[in-house]
Amino acid sequence: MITLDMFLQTIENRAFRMASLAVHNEADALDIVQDSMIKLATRYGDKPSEQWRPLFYTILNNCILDWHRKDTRWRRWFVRDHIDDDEDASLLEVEDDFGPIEHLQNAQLTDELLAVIEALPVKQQQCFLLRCWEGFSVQQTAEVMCVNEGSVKTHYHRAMQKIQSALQEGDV
Amino acid sequence: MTDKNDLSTQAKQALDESVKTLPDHVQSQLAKAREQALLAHKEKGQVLPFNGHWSKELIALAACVSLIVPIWFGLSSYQSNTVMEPQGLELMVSLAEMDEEEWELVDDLEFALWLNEQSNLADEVKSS
Repeated sequence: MITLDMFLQTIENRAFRMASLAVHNEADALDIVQDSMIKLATRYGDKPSEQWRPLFYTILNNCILDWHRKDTRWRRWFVRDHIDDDEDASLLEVEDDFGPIEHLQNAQLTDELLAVIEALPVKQQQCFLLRCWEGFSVQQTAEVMCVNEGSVKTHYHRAMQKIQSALQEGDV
Repeated sequence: MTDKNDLSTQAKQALDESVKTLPDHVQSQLAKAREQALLAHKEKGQVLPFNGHWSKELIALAACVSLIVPIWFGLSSYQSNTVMEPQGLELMVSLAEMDEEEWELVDDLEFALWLNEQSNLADEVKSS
């Protein structure tokens, strides 16, 4: 039988990588992983161990989205003078300041791929990581991300297209 | 690179590789985070009557009692004061509304009472 300690050990590095790709900051990524671990342990630690994985990634995903919402709010108040509410709501879908192509320059294959994934919009990135890396099904990914299956397919398709085109343009 | 399966496999390999090469300080921070999570889980499991969830309820109950008791006593004393007030008012109003004849009657009664007291005193002196 798998213990909570063993489970957390198996996912902590991957969770950190997912968080750091999403928030581009080591300290914040560590905070997010710690927060997710504590929430899982205190709220769902008594649940059967087979339920921990999807629950943990749901918590992690929500923590990442919360971080982005706070970051967006902060930027709206202190950095950007004029921003509409519609613009604010769509920020999670907006591309990073540095596009996938810029990330590819002067980098090796692994770094290039990570850079492209890092440059994806948060929801596409989460969807890609959950589907491709964690091996969740469309249904499981939809449950973890709290969206419908159609959205998962759309996010994943767009993520794959962006990665593909970025790597092709970078002549990898 | 154009094949999606190849792309997925390569991405997966790249991500796996990046996890293996995490810096030591990050790994130690993650271990600390895990320990804290396990500690939080352990503490949550120890449900003592004056700890965590129960202590909050007890504090709320104590706050309610400390709020209700003074209000209860305050209200009861206010009610007893308000019962006395109309009687006093009634007496004052009836005295204010008395005419001269009624005042003379009151004076006569007071004089009769005084005479009675005086005669009682005189009887007591004689008997002693």
